[in-house]
Amino acid sequence: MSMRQTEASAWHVVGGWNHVQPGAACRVELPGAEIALWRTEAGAVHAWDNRCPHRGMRLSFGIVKGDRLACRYHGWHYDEGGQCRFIPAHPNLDPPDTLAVAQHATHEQDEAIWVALGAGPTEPPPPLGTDQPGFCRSIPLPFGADTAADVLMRLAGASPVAPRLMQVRPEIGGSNRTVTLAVQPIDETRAAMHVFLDGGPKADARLAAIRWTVGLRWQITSETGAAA
Amino acid sequence: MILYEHVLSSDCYKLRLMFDLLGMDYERRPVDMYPGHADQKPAFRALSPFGRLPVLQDGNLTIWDAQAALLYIAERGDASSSWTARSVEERANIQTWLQVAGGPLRAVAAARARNLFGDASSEDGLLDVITIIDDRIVEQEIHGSEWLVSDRPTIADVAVFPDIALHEDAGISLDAYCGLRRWLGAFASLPGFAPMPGVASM
Amino acid sequence: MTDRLDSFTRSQWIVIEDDAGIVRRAPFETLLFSIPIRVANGPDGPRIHRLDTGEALPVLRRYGYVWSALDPAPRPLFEVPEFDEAGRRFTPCGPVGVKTSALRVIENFLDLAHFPFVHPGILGTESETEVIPYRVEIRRDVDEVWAVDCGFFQPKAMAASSAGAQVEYRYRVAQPCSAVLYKTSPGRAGAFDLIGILVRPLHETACEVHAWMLMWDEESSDESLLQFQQEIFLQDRIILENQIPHLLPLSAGMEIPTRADATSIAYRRWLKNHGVIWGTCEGIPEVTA
Ligand code: FES
Ligand SMILES: [Fe+2]
Repeated sequence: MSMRQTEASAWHVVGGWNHVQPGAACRVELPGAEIALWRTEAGAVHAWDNRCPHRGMRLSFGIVKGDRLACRYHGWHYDEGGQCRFIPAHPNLDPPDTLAVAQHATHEQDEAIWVALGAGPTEPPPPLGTDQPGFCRSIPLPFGADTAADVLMRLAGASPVAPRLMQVRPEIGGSNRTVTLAVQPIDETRAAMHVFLDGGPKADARLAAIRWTVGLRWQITSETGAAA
Repeated sequence: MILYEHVLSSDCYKLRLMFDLLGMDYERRPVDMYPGHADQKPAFRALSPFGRLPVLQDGNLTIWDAQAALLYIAERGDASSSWTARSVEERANIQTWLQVAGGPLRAVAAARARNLFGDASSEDGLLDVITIIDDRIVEQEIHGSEWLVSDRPTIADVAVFPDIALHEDAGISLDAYCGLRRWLGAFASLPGFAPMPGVASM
Repeated sequence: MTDRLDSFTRSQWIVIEDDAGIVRRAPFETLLFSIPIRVANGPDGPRIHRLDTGEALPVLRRYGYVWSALDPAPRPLFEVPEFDEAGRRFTPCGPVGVKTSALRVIENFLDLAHFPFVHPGILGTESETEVIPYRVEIRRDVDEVWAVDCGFFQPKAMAASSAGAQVEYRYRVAQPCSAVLYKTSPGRAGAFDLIGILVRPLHETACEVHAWMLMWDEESSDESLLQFQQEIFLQDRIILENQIPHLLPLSAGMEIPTRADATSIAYRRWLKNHGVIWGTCEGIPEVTA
């Protein structure tokens, strides 16, 4: 109960900066919520309930048109505030204010996209490292977030630094570097891990960190016997 | 050229895409694979010994393998050789992904056939193949390319695209595979691209 | 789950398989409202049994399909006199599995407003999206929902169409899981072609959809007729599997319709008036499925 409430009011990393590109939409899951994450063509990120108020179509299938999201099914347009602005079946109708999609809080920092359900906490999320953290890789985990923390501690030697955040200093490209692992809870049997590397945007180090992550993923797969 | 095909087959979509991307004309001959099971009829087996679509005919030449037909269309229709190998290294890489398309990736097509038509299927390695292609794209991006091989789209991308693009039909979520989602998006914005039913918005 | 089987649903004939499918597949096992059944060929035609109780279920052969029902004495099957018109061409399109409620499938079939977005270049175009008001009526004598005077501009209305045309539609819900549409025939002036869907619920949120066509068309090949319809249905399928919740909401408030949805509104109300529970959100306090 209290756990669920903490999750509900907390910031969660849901992916790296390129998890959703300008003009694209995708689906993100958090405990008890399914979210349509999308960017306007200008790059603003939005997190909405993933259900069109009209006939329930997942808005993550929507098509971005400038700063609006058009539903895949009947083409209703929603503006950045989630307000319906256009109903193609009735081109001359002014949609009522009640036609709107529920929104969730978003925040971009350290090459990460953060989402919090509802209005979100008043405090911004914590940093993902100390020296220009950069996004490397996300991987799905075939167990819940609490198990994920145990597994990452055991297999990667990571230690917790904040709720759902762990750090480890593996050898990356010849030297030991700080890697931050952000765990995104989904449900009892699934979570995701998002990997950030300290030290600025150097392509070779990032590539090495991506390979370290892939190695960790195969290790998790073989240890837990779960599918990758 | 004549393409014997079915509108819902991912392997047939592969060849239609190649024709479209190259702006080539071709003749479509629909085959009643479902519900008519043309694959069980001797006349079709004479054309395609394993009973599979697509079949490509050009004059006296009949090609009944999707990857071989893809290569043939590209070599015939692409004067600039942009879609095929320009070096020995590229040829090796392209060949690798063609083999993935004709091998491990078939698990995705099988999962889709099960969901649509109730066919029996084994899903061994289903997520492995998704993961491995996603890894490849993410590494390519670090090298500054958005394509499977080299810095331009090749027949390797065309060979792999349909089954990945039809992931929804196969019951596979790409939520966690953002490299694949970006690659699908880049592919869908190529001039000449056309979707098929089941290809989600990109 | 069988406690969600209301009496109206139980009393309906439900499609099992088309005649050719029976010949090819029988004996086979499948599901009817989550109940495992076995379909076999007997000396006097197909026989269907429940596998849980062993009980024999009623069997009907009509319109090129084999039907069954959970009630021993189902309501009479709906009439489609066009099946007796000489010269029409009948094409069953083969079953396709869809992971959603059968009722969501029927509702999508009754929907005009999605044509430009889900079937662009075929049944609609983004330059003509308006849904002109049409009439919806409950035909008391047969207890069916009808929508008439529906019109829509379609770039390629049928396999045989050579150009775009303003097409007239009539929709008919003959049973909760069976619907027919009548549309202007490109093959015969003044006549209508028929397209129908028959849906068998496997579970509350999974079904098998059988589409059929009954048309005036002497030109198109069987293959192109089939693939035209299959292409359209597969465009709908990805929508259907991503409508949340998968169960159809019958109470107002959960989803917001407009005037263009008059058929859907009438269909939901008709289901509710008949006490339909199966495949709906009725009786489920918090639907998240
Ligand atoms: S369901 Fe979104 S516009 Fe109809
Ligand atoms: Fe449709």
